[in-house]
This record gives sequence, structure tokens and C-alpha cells, in this order.
Amino acid sequence: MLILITGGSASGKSEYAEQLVGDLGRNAAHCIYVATMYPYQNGVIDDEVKVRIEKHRRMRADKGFSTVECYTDLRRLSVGKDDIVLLECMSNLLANEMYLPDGHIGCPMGDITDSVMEQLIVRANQGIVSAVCDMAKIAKHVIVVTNEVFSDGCVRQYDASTKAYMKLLGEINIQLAGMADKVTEVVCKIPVCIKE
Amino acid sequence: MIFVIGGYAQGKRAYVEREFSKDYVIFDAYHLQVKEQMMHGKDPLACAKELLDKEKVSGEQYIVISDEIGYGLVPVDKKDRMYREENGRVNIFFADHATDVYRVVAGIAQKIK
Repeated sequence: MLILITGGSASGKSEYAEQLVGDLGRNAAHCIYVATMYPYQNGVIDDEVKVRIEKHRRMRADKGFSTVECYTDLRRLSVGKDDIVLLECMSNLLANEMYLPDGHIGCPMGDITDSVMEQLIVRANQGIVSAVCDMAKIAKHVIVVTNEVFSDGCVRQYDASTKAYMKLLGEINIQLAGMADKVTEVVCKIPVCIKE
Repeated sequence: MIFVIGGYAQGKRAYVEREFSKDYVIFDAYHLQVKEQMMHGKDPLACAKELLDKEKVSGEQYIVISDEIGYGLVPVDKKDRMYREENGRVNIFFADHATDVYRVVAGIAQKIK
């Protein structure tokens, strides 16, 4: 089963997702937490990111997850048929794939033409969407946490690269939601069913 | 009138083209029209009423698609604050008069009215 969880910043998505993993019949040996947040800034650990990571580690400390760090290239992960995989979160993974030196999507400088945008979408579909899809075919359950960043009304003020990032995240969300068995938007810790 | 809202890049237009017949007249990215109207010193709410009246007279059925833009921090610039406010009021007006309202998240539409 593939489940997509979305919601705004600090809406309680992670807590909901971790609880959901528990409800799905968690088995400590088979529960993989895929952490995507890249903690380094110019080679040293960024303090703010470190605090966030520690907070998330504490939150899931007694929930029996084994944590795998994966900043880019989801296909490197090997999962088994009894595994429950929680990927947190898509917005970080996409940023890494676009902006880290070993990212597979990259981001061109300056204006982004429609044909370049199409290429970026193809790379996102190959590197991220189909990788999640393949994982969901093998694992027992795959739960993907993503982020609602589309309704702040500032789109026209962002630079081309940020707009491309938002378009790609929107596209990834649409593709994953289309394939998912269940889509939930978390609002103030309340799960709202988008698709079931 | 059918009213479709949702955030940026959520597949609102694709949803409308997929789910509704070609007989409908589509007004896409209506939030940009609100901005345009304000730039020309027009009252967006009055323009919205005109559009609704136009639909009634024409006998056609309209689908209005607009972005939700009210989920961020209060904009620093006064013009942006006014635009966000006016757009919200226009959305409320359309939602109030529409027979159906859909909200699209990650390409999936939910009928909220």
C-alpha cells in the first residue's frame, strides 16, 4: 500500500505518519525511517537543522524505527517485502536532488524555458516518482510525507529556480497521489481524507 | 457557475479539462485577473458580480479557477496585502454563488460545496 501524507509546515504530519506506521501493524525489525534532511552547510553541521533532526529522533525514539539517511537517489535503498517504509520528507529530497552537487535533477541558472521544465519533470519522475513506485511494489507499505507549500500567494515573487522547485513538488505530489491508495492532508494535527 | 480552487501547481486546470465537458466556458487563473483589475483601479468584487451576471444572460455555464493565496504570512507590501484581501473576498463571492465548489490538492479534487 502506498500512502501520501501532506500538510503545511508544523501541522503534525510526522506525528500522524509515525502513528499510522504503528497502526499498520508495526514490527520493529521491519520499520525503516528514510531521513532526507541534509544536515550540512558548507561541510559543517547546521545548528538549526541539527535541532530539528534531534527533535524528530526523539519523537520516534521508542517507536522501533531503523533510520536510513538518504539525501539523494532513492534507488540506492533496498527494501524487503515485509518492510514498512516511512519517507520523510519529499520536499527535502527534491531540494537535495535539485541543489546538492550529487543531485540527479539539478537546477539550471537563470530563466527556465518550458522545454527545460519538461526535462526537469522527466528527471523527477524517473529519479523520485518511479523509485517510490518501485519501492511500493516490493515493500509491505510505503508512506511518503510531503509538504503543502503552494498557497502562500508569493509565487510571482519567487525566482525561476524556486518556481521550478514548486512546480516539481506539485507534479510529484500529483503523480504520487494518483498512484496512492490513500492520501491524507493533516491540518492542525487533524487528518483530513483527500483520497481513500 | 462552478468554482475550483487550490494552491499553485496542484493540477486544477487539468482536473477541469479531464472531468468537465467542453461546453463549459473556463476562466483560468482568475486570481491574476483580480490583480489586473486592481492595477486598473477597478473594484474586483464588482467585476466578479459582472461576470456572474454575464453568465446568467449568456445562458452558458462558467467554470472559474482560482489560486488559494491566503495561507502565508501577512505580506509586507501594502498592495500585496490588499490583493490578498480582495482575492479572498472574490473567492468567497464565487463560492457563495457557485452551485459546486471543488478544492484541488495534489491533483485530487474534493467537492466542498
